[in-house]
Amino acid sequence: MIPKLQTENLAVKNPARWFTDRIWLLVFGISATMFLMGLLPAWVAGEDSGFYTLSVMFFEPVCHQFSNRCYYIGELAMPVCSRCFGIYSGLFLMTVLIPFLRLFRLPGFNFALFLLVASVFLNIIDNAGNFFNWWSNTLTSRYLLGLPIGLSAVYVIFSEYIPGRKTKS
Amino acid sequence: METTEQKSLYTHSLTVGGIFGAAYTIVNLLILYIAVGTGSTGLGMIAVYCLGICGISLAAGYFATWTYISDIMMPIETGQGALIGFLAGIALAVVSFVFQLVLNSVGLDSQELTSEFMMAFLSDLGLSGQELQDVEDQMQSSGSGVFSLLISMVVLGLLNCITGLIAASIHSKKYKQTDAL
Repeated sequence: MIPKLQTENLAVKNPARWFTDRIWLLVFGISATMFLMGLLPAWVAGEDSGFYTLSVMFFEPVCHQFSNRCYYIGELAMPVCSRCFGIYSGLFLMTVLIPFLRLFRLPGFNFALFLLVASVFLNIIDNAGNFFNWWSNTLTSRYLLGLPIGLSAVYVIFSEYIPGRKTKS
Repeated sequence: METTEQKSLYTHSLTVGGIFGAAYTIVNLLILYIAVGTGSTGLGMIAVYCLGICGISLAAGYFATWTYISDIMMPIETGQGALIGFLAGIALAVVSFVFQLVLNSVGLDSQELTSEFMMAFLSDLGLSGQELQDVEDQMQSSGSGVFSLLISMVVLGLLNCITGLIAASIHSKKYKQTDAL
């Protein structure tokens, strides 16, 4: 039985208590879904498979899906571009790590918000550079620029429960 | 019986989601028309397309939560932000779908334009005729209609959940500090 969300669940040091928290489970579910829907279809399914077609439809509303801007697994392009995949990777990675990061003293909300705003701006600047032909980026650079957006987004959501705030052991 | 707060929550999320849904469709069409009409189908337009479409589709949950908190002038639980964002995402998907149907009926087909844009972009990159045909076949097989709407509702609902959570974390702080005083 999943207990009702209580602040105390996330304010405790024991990471195991996080794994029963509704908000953490919600964020984990969403981030895992986005990450695995981006990664798995090209990896395990063939081009003609329904799973791959479903994944293409899944990301259609939020990604341009141009194949030359997506990672390839074998001969199949991922259904999501490298920048978006970086964001979803960051979301998933930070969601998994944050119950353990909670054990360390880390900067709190203001730092998390600064990271999020800075990483969004970096991506806007990167896009602007492409638009004005100042530079052209690569798959890896776009992935690495998307990663901090995902990492910092989850950090902002849970920053209130990072050490330095009200805690209970 | 619904409280005023609950009614306000649904109103905010559905209204903001609807507005962003309309904006999403219109901006999508505008960018595609400009790109295809002027022949600017290079990397630059992809950057604009990316920012415009991603930005609008993910901002609905954030703005819905923010306006709700500003309206009630009280902090909300993080979970409420997720709910507001989710509802806004669903409203965005539905309104965008309806808008596209209306625009299709007057001859403004965004799917056709997207296909044209992508073909022009990939052709500029030097893809062969067969490769272009493969891409076109893939785009056509991705489908449309009610199933596509259901998928959009799921993905936009989920992603706007996250942006709603972010907005709840950021904007509730101001009112928590006020309460503490």
